[in-house]
Amino acid sequence: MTLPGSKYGPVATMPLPEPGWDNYKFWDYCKQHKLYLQRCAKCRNYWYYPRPLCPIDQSRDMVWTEMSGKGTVWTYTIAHHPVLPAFAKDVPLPVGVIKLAEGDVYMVGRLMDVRPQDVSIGMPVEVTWFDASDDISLPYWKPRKS
Amino acid sequence: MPKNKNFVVNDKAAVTGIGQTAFSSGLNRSTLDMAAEAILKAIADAGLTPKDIDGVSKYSFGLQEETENHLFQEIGLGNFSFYAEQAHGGGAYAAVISTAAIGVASGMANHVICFRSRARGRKSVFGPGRDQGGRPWEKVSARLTGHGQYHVPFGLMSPVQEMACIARRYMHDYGVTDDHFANVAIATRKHAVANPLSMMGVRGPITREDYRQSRWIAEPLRLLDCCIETDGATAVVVSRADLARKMPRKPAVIHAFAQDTKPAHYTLSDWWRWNRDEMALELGRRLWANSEIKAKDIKAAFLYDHFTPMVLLALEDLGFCKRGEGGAFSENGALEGPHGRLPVNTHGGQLSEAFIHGFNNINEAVRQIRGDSTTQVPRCNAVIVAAASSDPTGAFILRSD
Repeated sequence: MTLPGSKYGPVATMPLPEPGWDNYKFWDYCKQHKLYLQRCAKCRNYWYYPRPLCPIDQSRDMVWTEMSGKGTVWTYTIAHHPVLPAFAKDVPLPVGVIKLAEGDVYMVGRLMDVRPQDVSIGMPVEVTWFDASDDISLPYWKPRKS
Repeated sequence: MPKNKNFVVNDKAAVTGIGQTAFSSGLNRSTLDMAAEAILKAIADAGLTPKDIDGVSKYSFGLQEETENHLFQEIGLGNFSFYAEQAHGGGAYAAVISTAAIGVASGMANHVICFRSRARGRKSVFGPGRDQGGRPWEKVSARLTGHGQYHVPFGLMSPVQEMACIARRYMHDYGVTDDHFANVAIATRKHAVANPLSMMGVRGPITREDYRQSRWIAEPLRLLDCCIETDGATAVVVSRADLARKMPRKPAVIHAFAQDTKPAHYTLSDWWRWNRDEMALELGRRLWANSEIKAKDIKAAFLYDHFTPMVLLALEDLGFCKRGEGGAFSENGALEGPHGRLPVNTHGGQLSEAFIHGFNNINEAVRQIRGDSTTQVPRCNAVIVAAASSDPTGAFILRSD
């Protein structure tokens, strides 16, 4: 027996962020191809993802600060199964966790302009921008000379 | 480590009944229907009737419809003086049992039913049906409002990809290799081959070469590093220990338990900000502080094997070896029953028996204490059951009376 069709099928396009009160500034900066993260004025830690207050000292003095856009690969995977149709043409797809040059702050990021077999932990990378839609630009990463 | 004197519920509860459905990639049944079968079998195994059950402890994560009302109206259980619910993926299942133990130890209930039911087999997930259209991470919307917006658009969206990132860093930091991951896959398949109710037993044992030849899913993880997906349900009855001693089956006494959650257990996008090395080490410290049984006394371990590296990390988290030594610990058949150094998941685990979100590990732990396993460990009088270290987590110890 076959049951009625599902309304839950996978979306055909790449899912994109829907900015909200706590993070619209981050995505607004991305739209300008600028990487800004919050820095707590009290403890001086950088934070990603965006949030209303610092979870270390509960300070709300979170200052939007421009980052160098440089970092290193802290860990990564090569995804062979695309999961979503939007990534079907991109596999094998290298995606990793980038440790930013400014310190102990990390971002999940897709790795561009590199063959999967050439990715390694510690590899120096820099930000590169992908205009995914009229309102969203995504920070991707590509190799840089150290 | 001195015993935690504030933990006053040692040996106050016991598992007195277990039940399960068949395990399959497609049973064409609702989760409620499968839950009912497992629940009624567990109640019968305990020598009870549905009206004897006066509490429920369950697991709410993911698509699931078995609310208390369903248990009353559609299965015929009723009049609960205790009810509790846990969330979180593979991290919650141990806490379902410890919560039930608290329920009976406190005097709020006599017999608590605990269960998990999933319609997540391949044939149930990929097709036109009402709950179909893929797994949860394949059913995201076009715009993401939660934490997913910080990783899904970059191509990192499924548990295997997340665990692959952790495994890659684990290999880098400690020299653990995919050969160590293979030790877990080979051991659990060996156990599944002995277990006629397992899904993968019919495929036969796997060799190291089979492991290496299996296809990449998310490097460094291959197909044989990944759990299977299953239609099926399992259930257990947790009873007051004094009542358990008068019941038909040999009780599996719940000796001690512990829970742990901290920032490093949460979302992908934030994992890396906190001390990942700590993971669930705190869980192990708490569990042994609450327990009079120690790691050296444990005869078999039931660990959450959603992906092979997580078994090695769990061995470290729970104090069976030091951080970074899980790979070395797994060598020379150490995880293989019945005679390995520490047999792990002697039914085949989530990798090769079935994926019931860890819950089938509980049934097998009880079988080991009863002496009923298809890979029975000799003189098995104490076992550990632990949930995923990668989520809010928990663990408990079962002993014979």
